[in-house]
Amino acid sequence: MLSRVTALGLTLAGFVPPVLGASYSAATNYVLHCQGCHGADGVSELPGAIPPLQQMGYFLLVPGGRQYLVQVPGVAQAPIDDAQLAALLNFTVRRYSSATLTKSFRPYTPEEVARERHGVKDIGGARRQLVAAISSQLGVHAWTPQARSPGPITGEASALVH
Amino acid sequence: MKLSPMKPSHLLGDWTDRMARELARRNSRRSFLARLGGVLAGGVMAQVLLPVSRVYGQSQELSLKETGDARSCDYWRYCAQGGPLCSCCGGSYNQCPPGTEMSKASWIGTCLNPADNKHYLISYNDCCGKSVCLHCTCYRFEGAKPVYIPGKANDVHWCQFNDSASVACTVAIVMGVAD
Repeated sequence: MLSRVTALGLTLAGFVPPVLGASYSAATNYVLHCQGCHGADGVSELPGAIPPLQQMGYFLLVPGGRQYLVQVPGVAQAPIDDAQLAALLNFTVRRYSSATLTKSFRPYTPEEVARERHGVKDIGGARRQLVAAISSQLGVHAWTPQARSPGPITGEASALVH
Repeated sequence: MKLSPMKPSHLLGDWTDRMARELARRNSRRSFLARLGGVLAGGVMAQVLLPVSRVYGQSQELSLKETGDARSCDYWRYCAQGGPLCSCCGGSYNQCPPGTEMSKASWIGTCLNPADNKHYLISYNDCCGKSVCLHCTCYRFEGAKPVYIPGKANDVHWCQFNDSASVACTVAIVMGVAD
């Protein structure tokens, strides 16, 4: 057991994630931290499971929505510092949500990101309230996830018997 | 293993938690391979089912210089690979084997290409719809995170949103230069 722990410690000590040590442009950080699910154009191939980024502007128009966009787990937990995250948010809002963005948009700052990114415990509840506010105040039905079941796992058993 | 359908009344509130839990619960390919290895060691003969029908999509990668053996786990693109190499399973490093389709979601990391000393963005997509390929299993972890950060985890079943959640192998597609 000790040797396993020691080995793990040595492994971790020598493990230097390149993403954490690098400082990339906002466009590159979008690919690294967002595109895998949200797609290259902000519209996922999984429309029932992943929200379209084109609607980010709606959230900026209702109280609490601006903070929510920082607090979404995929945003808040992105392994980049506050300045890079602020730049990523500004890039994403402007590139993918221009149709719903108003002239009143103020760019996110590193200080604001630092203050807000870990500030919510019930992110799902926060989104529900914001979607309701968007509906009542803007008359827009924002994206909500669709009920679905994942596809079956069909192949693994056959690997055992053939 | 099949998940129960989401209940609409809980969709939003539980969505994030469900994602993380489901990923963690469903997605230990290593544990599956470990179990499979145990079965094989017990004497069950295994024959890999090679894909048979079609190739999903064509690569649209930029042209780049690269060297090495794409069937080796040491190949530069696989610095955060988490599963069998499709290049050993009827596909290539960036194309799924015939009869499988590429996962609709993926995680994206960076790898250093020793041929030009640049870091490239690499999308690790699973190929879905066939039995797990038993050739060239490869796990490396440069930039990867545990499954509780699913967007950065290489041990996630990215096929879970496809029509078939079975994972045959994993490709490593260059998305561009990391700059």
